[in-house]
Order: sequence, then structure tokens, then C-alpha cells
Amino acid sequence: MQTEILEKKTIHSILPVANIFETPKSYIVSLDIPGAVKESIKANIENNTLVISASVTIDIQSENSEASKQFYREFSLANDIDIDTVAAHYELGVLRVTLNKKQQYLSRQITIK
Amino acid sequence: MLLIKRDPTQELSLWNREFPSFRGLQSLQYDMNRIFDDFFRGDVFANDSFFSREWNPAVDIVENNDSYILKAGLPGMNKDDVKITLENNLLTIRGEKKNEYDKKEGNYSRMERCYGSFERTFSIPGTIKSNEIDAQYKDGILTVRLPKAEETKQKKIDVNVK
Repeated sequence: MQTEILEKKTIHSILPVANIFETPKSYIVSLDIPGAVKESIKANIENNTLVISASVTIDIQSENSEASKQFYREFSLANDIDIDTVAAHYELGVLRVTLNKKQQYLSRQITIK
Repeated sequence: MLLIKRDPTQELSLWNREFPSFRGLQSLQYDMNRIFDDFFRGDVFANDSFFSREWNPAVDIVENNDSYILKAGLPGMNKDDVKITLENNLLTIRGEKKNEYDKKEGNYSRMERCYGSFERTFSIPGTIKSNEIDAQYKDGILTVRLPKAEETKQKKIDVNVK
């Protein structure tokens, strides 16, 4: 574990800015992670917590050492989220995670007979 | 870096605008970090007034022998919404970030990101080859390469000692 940490010099640990947008069917969490490669972003759900982490290489360092920026953020989820259908998409430096609401939590119209 | 006269009223309005209480502690931390970074970076290029901004993208500038390289974090923007101009050695980046979702479809339960127009101006020391400026937008980062003109490049002359 320790060698892994020492391999790259980390100069920043950043909390990405996030917006959460709620629609009738889902929540969309969007985070600013500019300059990341899609493969370097990790998103997982553990113990009802959505964990986003990413490592972005700073390529304009003129010195020989390669530095990187670490992005990290956690969101605790309410129990109305269907964990099996979570989807994530990275585009133009923004990661969007779509968390669908469970069927039983969706609002529905009840027809009156 | 620009010297700004202390104006308590302006500071107060900045405080109100930048730190509305509903934005939560984590975003406060983010803002504080960013303000401290901006302030203590000793950015000799920065020509913009610290107190008069709405929102400003974070910018890194690197100088090497051949060029100045400017990187601006502009996540989630359209390439066409960014305009770069160079006038009298002043490089200006301006643009507008549009709201990503339609209010008709739902509501924001958290909103930390800033939207609207921004403008940043940097004064470039020395002459650059203005016809060779190259700008690219990729993964939310705008990279502008400004190649130095020959007379600005540091010349290294070996002196023979006899």
C-alpha cells in the first residue's frame, strides 16, 4: 500500500464541485473533473455511499517529476435509489451519475373509479 | 498582481455572494481553497480584479523557453461558447456557461457550480508570435499555447575565456 502512495507525488487533493438535479424518476449527480481520462475515474457504491475518485495527471509540469491531482468525493444515498441501474457518463470534463429511484418511490397517478 | 484598495463594503458583498449559507460546508472549503490559491499564487499574469468577479475559471500558466502555456479549467462547456482574443499583449478569455438542465424537468437539490458569463484577462510579458497561437479544448480543459517571438526567448551565449 505504501509504495503505491509514494510512486506519484500528489500535490492536490480536490473536492470536485457537484450539482444534484432531481427529476421525477431519478437524481443526476454531476461533478467537475476537468482533464481526466475516462479510465482514471472510479465510481462505486459501498454501504449506500457513492464514492467518486479520479486521478488527473498534470502534464505541464516543466520539472521531471510527474505530479497528479486527486479528486475525491462521497455522497451518502437515501434508500430510495435503485443501486442496480446506476449509470455514469464522462464528457467535456464533467462526470454525470444517474441514480434512478426505486419503482415503489415513484409518484403515480391513482385513477378514481 | 494588482494592488486593490481595501473597501469594506465590497468585501461584505463578496462574502454574501460567494458564501450563501445553503451551499454547505464542503463547497465552502472548496471556495476558501480556491481564493487562497488565487491570492497566494503570486500570479504575475493576473490582470483581473479579484473582487469584481462573478465566477472565474481556474487557470494554470507555465512558461518555458519557447512559449507560454495557459490552461483553464472549463468543464462542461461548449467549444463554441469560448472566445479568445489577443489585443495589445492582453490575452482575454471570455465565455458563457449555460445551465445544464431544464427547470421544467426537475429541481436542483444541490447547486455548487457557477453559471453565466466570465472573462479573464492576462497581460503577456514580451512579444509572442500572434499568428501561431494555438488553442485546444479537451476534457473540459482549454489549453492555449503562445509561442514566444525570437527576441523574447532567453538567449544563451557561451563566452570563451581566453
